[in-house]
Amino acid sequence: MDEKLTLFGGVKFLRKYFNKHKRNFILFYIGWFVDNALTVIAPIIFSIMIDQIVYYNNLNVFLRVSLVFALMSLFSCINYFLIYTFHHYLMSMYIFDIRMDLFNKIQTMNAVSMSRAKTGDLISTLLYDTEECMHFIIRNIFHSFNALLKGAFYITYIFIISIIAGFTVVLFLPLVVYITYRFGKRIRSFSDNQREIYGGYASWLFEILRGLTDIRLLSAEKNVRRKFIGFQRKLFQVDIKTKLANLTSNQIIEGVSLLLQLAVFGICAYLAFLGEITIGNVIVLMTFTFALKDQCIAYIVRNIMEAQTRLTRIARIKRFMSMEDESSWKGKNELTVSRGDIQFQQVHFAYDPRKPVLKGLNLSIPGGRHVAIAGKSGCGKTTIASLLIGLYERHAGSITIDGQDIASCNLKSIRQNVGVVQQDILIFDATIRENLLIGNPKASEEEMWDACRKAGILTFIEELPDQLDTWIGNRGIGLSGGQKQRIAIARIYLKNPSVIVFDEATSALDRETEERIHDAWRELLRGRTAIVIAHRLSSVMLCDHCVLIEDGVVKEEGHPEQLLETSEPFKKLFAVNEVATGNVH
Amino acid sequence: MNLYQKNALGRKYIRLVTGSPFIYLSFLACMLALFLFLTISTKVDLIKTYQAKLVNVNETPVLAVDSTDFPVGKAFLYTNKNKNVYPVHIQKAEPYQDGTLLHLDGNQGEDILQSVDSQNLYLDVPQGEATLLYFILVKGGKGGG
Repeated sequence: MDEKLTLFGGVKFLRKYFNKHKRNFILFYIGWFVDNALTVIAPIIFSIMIDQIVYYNNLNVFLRVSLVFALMSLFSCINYFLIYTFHHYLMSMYIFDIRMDLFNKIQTMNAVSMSRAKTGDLISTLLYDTEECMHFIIRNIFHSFNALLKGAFYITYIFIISIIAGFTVVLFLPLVVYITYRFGKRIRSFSDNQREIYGGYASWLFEILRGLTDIRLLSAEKNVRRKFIGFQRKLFQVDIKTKLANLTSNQIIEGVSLLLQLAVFGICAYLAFLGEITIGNVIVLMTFTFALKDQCIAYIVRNIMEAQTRLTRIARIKRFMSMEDESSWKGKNELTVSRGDIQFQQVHFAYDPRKPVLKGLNLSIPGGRHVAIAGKSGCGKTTIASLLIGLYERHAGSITIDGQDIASCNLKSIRQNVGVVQQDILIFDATIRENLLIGNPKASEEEMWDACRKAGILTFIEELPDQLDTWIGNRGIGLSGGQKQRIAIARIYLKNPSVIVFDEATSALDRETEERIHDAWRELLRGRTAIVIAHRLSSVMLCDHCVLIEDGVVKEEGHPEQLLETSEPFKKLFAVNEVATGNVH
Repeated sequence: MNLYQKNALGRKYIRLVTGSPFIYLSFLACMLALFLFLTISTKVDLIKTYQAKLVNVNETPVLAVDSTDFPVGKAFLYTNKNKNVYPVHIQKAEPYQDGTLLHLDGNQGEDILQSVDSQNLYLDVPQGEATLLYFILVKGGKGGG
């Protein structure tokens, strides 16, 4: 559940973004203040004009006051245009700043936070919740404050014109405040609930849309549909409750305001009948009472209700912003790799403290050696790679590359020196060139072609009409699993790290494609240290050393061919794996 | 960071308005100065309302008010302000018992006094002037004439 944020908490959180555009926010506020002042003054000027012409036939003063009125209207129009220039500018910049911060946060989130965050939540927060921050500042703070000021002006002028009307207005106000407070609390709780359900629903939907094929293959459409209906039902119920509470409070306040209006209209009629007020005064009183009801009371009430919803959204942004990120990584030194010796010494690690994954792992990989890491699922193979590139921090022990503890090195230098090729290759909706340059934006044209040649994708690219400028991804041409692997290998060539980790990179490819990819690997691995996290024997056999992990420690190690002859667990593991993946010869 | 790079005109306009407070503040200052000038230079009569009675003196209808200090000149006579308001000119004011007798100008005054159908009359009398700004800000539009 999100942290409950108060109005002041929301303002405090958003203040740093406000401060960045303080000058324009102040100008924007001054503009609104002037606009509101003109709104208050206009009926008074109008009443003077009427009294002058109706009672005293004073055309001279009437025309002069009319000139002031016309000028004020023109002034108001230009002012309004300028205010909205500020509004749109601030809206764009303010949202941009928050989105940028949030995006940076998402990008630097540590692996633990990343695994906890729901994708749907992140998307809806980044796209929709950020907009609400600006609405909160402008509508809930600026406009509400202005509406309060305007209300105070209206009441003062109503008192000036008629004390009885003033007292009538003041008597109704506590009632409105009480109703607003009562319903505001209820709406906030419904709104929190709604956001919580919606967040879960969006994440679930995101996963479902990604796995549509799997759902069909598992014939799970019925279950998914049932869950979809369940979510819709929950959302519908909470939506009805929120809207009902909103509607009820609005209608009650509308009723109270109507009573207030009727009372003031009655007083106006009575005073006009007695001759104590003029037609102009009646117009001002009626206009002010109507404006007080519409522009102040109803407006503030609506804003308070909306503020409750917005605060929930701001609390979500705040929660994301406070998630742990990689800035907690203490290492500052630059990692420089020459030979590529890797040492794991007494490394302990657990995702869940009750279930340790690595229990004092010792592993020594001399520079230039290609080591396969094998073991059953969940034995900690991928964890070893994750610790090596600093996705997680080990709980005890040390991991060194060329004698430098990676905990003392900065993440950027670690990731520059350790390249990773995974099974799922990230291909952007962009050109091949852009997809290649992501590893090294400074790579030259020549280096790119060379990397493509070494990765074995040169012929494919050369045959494309736009070659490196061909659009790939969802909106471009589709790539096969093997081609994606080759793109990933080309990226590694451009990045040129001393250490490479292959994390089950070819486990989804067919045997023929895998063999061709392995040829590209052999070329890539020359002169580099490599860790191959392998599910297939063929990947293990590429290496000159193999480590069998079991229960968080190294169970056996040696040359793959030697292990294949002597190690029962090794033979058993690959017999099982090869059967499972259909790769038995 | 400039998010308006695509539209050159829009970029210039945004930069002009948001880049420096000078333009907007100048606009506000000019408009405020103009508003103050116009509202200060426009004078509106300050009106004081007197209750008056219709009395006959030497078979001539005249007005009697309780006040002893009554200025002669322009006034507005009515029984109900929202029905008819007669502009009149008070030619002479003379002490009468505890108040003042008001003689209206020529036949016009007599005609009006004969046509009013009530003994209880009101007289709105301009007594000095005030600026329009004063009427707006201090009096909320009330009491002008």
